[in-house]
Amino acid sequence: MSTSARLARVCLLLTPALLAVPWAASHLLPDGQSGLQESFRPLSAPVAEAVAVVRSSDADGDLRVLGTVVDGDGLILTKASEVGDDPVVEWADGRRLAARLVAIEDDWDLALLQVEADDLTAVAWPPAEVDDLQLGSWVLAVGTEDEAMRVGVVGALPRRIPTATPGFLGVFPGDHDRGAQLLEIVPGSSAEVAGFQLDDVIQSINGKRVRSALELVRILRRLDPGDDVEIVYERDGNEQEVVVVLGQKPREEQRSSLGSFHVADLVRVNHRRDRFPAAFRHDAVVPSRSVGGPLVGSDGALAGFNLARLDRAGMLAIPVAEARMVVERLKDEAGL
Amino acid sequence: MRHPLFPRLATAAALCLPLAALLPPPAPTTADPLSLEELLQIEAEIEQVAEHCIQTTVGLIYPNGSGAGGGSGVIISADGWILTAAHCIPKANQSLRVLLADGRRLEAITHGKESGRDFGLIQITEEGEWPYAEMGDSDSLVQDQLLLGVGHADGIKEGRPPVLRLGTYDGTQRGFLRSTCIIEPGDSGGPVFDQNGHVVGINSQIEVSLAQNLHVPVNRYQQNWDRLIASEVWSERGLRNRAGPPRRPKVSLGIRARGNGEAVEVTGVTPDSPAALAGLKMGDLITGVDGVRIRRKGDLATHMLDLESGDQIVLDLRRAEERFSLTVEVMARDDS
Repeated sequence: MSTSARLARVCLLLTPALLAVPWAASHLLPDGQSGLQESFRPLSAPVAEAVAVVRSSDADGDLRVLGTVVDGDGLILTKASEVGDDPVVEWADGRRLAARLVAIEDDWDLALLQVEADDLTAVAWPPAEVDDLQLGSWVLAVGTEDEAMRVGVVGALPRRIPTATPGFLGVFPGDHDRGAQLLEIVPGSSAEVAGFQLDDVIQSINGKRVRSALELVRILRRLDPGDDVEIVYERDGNEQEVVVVLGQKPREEQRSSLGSFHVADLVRVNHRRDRFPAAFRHDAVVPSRSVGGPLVGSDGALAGFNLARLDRAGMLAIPVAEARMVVERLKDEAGL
Repeated sequence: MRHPLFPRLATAAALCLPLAALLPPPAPTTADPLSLEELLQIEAEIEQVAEHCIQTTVGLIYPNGSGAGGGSGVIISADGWILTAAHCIPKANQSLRVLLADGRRLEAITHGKESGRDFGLIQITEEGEWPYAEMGDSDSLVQDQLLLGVGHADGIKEGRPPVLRLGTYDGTQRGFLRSTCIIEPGDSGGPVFDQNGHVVGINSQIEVSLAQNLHVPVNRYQQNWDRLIASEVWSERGLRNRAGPPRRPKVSLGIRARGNGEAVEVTGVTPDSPAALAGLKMGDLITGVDGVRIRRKGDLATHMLDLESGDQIVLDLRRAEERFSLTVEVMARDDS
């Protein structure tokens, strides 16, 4: 029974007690980079001065992400979905400034924050015509001055990153003679917002007949967050119709379920890691709480910004030319 | 039969005297800091071979019901021999299609495999001259030398070629090469190249640490070539239970759970999931599945390993003082 033996080994690796052992924790980042990191220090050090930590909170708890100063007069680019209420920006020298959210661009999940300061070190934008993103080129993921930088290469050129998570209605359905009956509705979900009530019976979605609870789930799994869906349902014997905008699974539903456990799942990924217009992939991996920082190429010039920790092996990043346009749009939008 | 890249690379290396003088042959290592010139030279070499590394890597597409989950491979001859991992081959003489980086899909067939050390062989059955990589010598790798890992990370994605990663060689572990080329499910069977674009290893398995990525030494294929092309399927004595990558179920219930050695407690139920459909609740204790006693998460996962989407399982449950059974139809894992 080689299969069960293999599984036994994985289960052993998944035991929390083992993960808590210090040597294991210290090995959670790939080693063998110290030489490379030291080699690239002269290129990353100046850029690190423009990187700060953005702390905030939301209903799920404390949020932490990196932000990059893109204008010395207090403008900071960061990952929109990782910033909650009352953001505070912290520099490596201990300086802390309250920030206000200026504008958000959802396509890239980027946000512009503003702090009251006019003496910040900003990243330098490279000349607009430079676009030398090549497969195999060095990229350095630069953190704050007291955070390790990571070295990697461009692993896949920019492409549209499609939806990775199915649309979320937020219902617990059960079988019913005439469709799928709602046994429970997730608070705050699209289903609740649309006014669904317990015991409503969903009969069709986008004209597709729903004959069982499982069929409802199957149809939903093929739809994307943000999709408008037309739902016909029955309440108290009357047929009704409603258009619902599907949401995303809440954060806590995105951790590994029993059916998908694997050592690769032990890496924490960003909640929003898809639906980007043209992101490139690289392997200078940083934790999900350290995205939002800049990437630098071997010429020392800004190459892009980290958008998301995608999985065990990779990051997604926005190319610098696109990022510059996003920043300009966000500034325009805010009248800056 | 030599690859056209070789003469150019040999020239490039010969012209780069400072690099050759500073670093031990046969390839530069990253244990010590390098100068910017050296880093640029290495980058130029990586960029030169990167495209060929991608073009020679294939994705494996098996017909439904063949019991294989896909993976990657690398073409090592113009007439289409492909190295892969044994766990990417369900059995000998299984027909499949291989996806080239340019989008072509070619008919292919599996040959032999050895499961203990996880190596196997596939052949393209269509007539043609295919892009291929030469095999290097996995016995002559030097500690900390740079390696390039390639594969369909997280599975084949529409419009995305195989993904390139950079890492360093870190000795051997249980007969496998260990490197910091971070791999994940989907990369299995894909190649690891040295800096000249020669295949030195085949992706096999990972452990929790990002620094522990294990690859089959390419020399094993050469040592066992006759058995592999003869479609022999074997497992070396005593290795069966010690090596081989973890498998994970293709299906999911949609619960989070923890085992306590007596039963498995449901700590979360994903809305819209099969478990939610069946009425499973947080706090339920799973004590058995299909009549088999369940004490740990691994017991349940093992039971689910060979299930297909749509299969039904019967869970024995305890909720407060109640004991009852529920039938759950399992669904394909949500791989997001």
